[in-house]
Amino acid sequence: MLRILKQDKEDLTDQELILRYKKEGEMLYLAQLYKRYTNLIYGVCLKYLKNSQDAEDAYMSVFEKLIKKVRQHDITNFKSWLHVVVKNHCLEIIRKQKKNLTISYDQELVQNEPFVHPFEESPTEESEKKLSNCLQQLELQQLEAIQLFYYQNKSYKEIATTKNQPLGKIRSAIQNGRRNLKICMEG
Amino acid sequence: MELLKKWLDGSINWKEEKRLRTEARKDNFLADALDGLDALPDADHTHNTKVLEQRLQEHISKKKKRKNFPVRAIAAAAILLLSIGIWWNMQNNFKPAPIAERQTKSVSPTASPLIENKIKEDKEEVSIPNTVAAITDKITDDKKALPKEFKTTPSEKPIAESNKELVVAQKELPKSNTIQSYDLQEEVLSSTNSPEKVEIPTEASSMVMEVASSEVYSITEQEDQEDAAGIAIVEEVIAASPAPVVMSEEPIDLTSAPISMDVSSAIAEQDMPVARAMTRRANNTPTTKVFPVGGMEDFRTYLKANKRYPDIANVEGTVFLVFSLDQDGTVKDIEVTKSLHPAFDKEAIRLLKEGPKWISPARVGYCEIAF
Repeated sequence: MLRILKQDKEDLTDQELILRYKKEGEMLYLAQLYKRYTNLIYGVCLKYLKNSQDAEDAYMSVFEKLIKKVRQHDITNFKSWLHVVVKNHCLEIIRKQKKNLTISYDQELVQNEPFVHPFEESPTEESEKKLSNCLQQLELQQLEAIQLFYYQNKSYKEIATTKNQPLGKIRSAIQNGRRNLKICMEG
Repeated sequence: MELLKKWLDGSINWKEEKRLRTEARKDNFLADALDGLDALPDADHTHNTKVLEQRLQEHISKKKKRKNFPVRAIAAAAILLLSIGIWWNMQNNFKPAPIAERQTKSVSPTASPLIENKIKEDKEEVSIPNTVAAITDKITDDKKALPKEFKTTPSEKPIAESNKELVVAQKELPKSNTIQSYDLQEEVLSSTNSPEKVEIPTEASSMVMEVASSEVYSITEQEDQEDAAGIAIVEEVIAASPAPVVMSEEPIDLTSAPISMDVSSAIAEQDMPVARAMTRRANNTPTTKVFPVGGMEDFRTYLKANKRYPDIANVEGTVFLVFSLDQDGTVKDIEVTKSLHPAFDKEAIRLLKEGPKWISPARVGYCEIAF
């Protein structure tokens, strides 16, 4: 019976979950909905609050807020509405922190580095040459990771296991390598 | 969503990642989230989000418990009432039986002073108020006046018992009611003179019981602090219940002894949830944290004692695990959220599997095992 209920909840759309929550007041529906966006919410909190501890706390308090807010508002697009709620909550926290400490955060927040894959565009002969040149300038670790990731089509996880290194290290190696490549290509 | 999950746990390849990034251009939420997650490439986001979801689950179950609390209190009160009812009922049923059996038996004359002594002892134990003591003294006096061969002894047990009940009742009753119970005691007194009137003391005592029990009922029906009073009464009742067993030195009563013991222990058991509920209310913090049976300290010593280091050099760190719990707290569905090395993960899973049961209201748990 419980399993059926659970299955049921997973299949429902956002809108249906909201409706059920409003009707029955059952928090499990809201939690189910909220959990769907855990990764996104957590990511946004990280972006603004800069550390995982604060992000986790914010995640919990946003849920607390939702318990009331979802009932009060007519939500047509939950995802974008949630984005606004999370963002506002984080900004509120920053504002509170700012009262105690004055840190200029705006600069950093606005600076959204556009994500560019170095291997995106159809390669011209020139760019190909430049690329191989730049690749050689990379640190060995970054080069290896980039090669495995882009040329051998491996996932982060696979690279981590073959190189017997933690996932985070591989991730940052690829990220840094990519940035270096970009700087090199543009410069 | 699926792509993001894949990206987080690292099983994504670059083509999929490209797709994810393209999606992020249209989706501000996703873009924001990726910015945040990108900022800390070393952190284990999968583990963190899993822990978060568990925290959420716990949070909800905690809230629910708080919501259900009045219902629980009512249920506890109901159990209390039921147990008291059963107890009184059993007492009523027992009493006539030993009396009837005793009447058929010829009683040795030496038995009566013995029982008289017992009554005196009991008096000391229960510490009867002075006025009652005077009356019970009168009972013993009356008995001394009677010839020893006289068949009053069978009725002495019920008298002693009803005296006890009176004492209990008097403690509970408001002052206006005490007069009534005195009257009853007088009735008991008058009955000691004639063995034919043996039924009267039982009736009288049952009347007293009714008064007493109704008192208990009215108390338990009230809320919160009054609950405590209800329990106090039950404790007294329980304290009183073994007394008839102590008093009886004849085999007939011994047969009934285990039954009454059972009843009182049953009551004690049934009161357990109430007691627990009370302590919980007193602390005002429901225990909803995830922890192994025996506590975290014991778990650590268990780990220390049982940890087998895999034969691999230069590996050190912590394995993070999440798991769910059976109905009885047995660990199942263990999942490694932050792996250290396959051999170490395996050892961590083994430790968790063979370790103690866990307590978690949300039926999920997480732990870290350091190597």
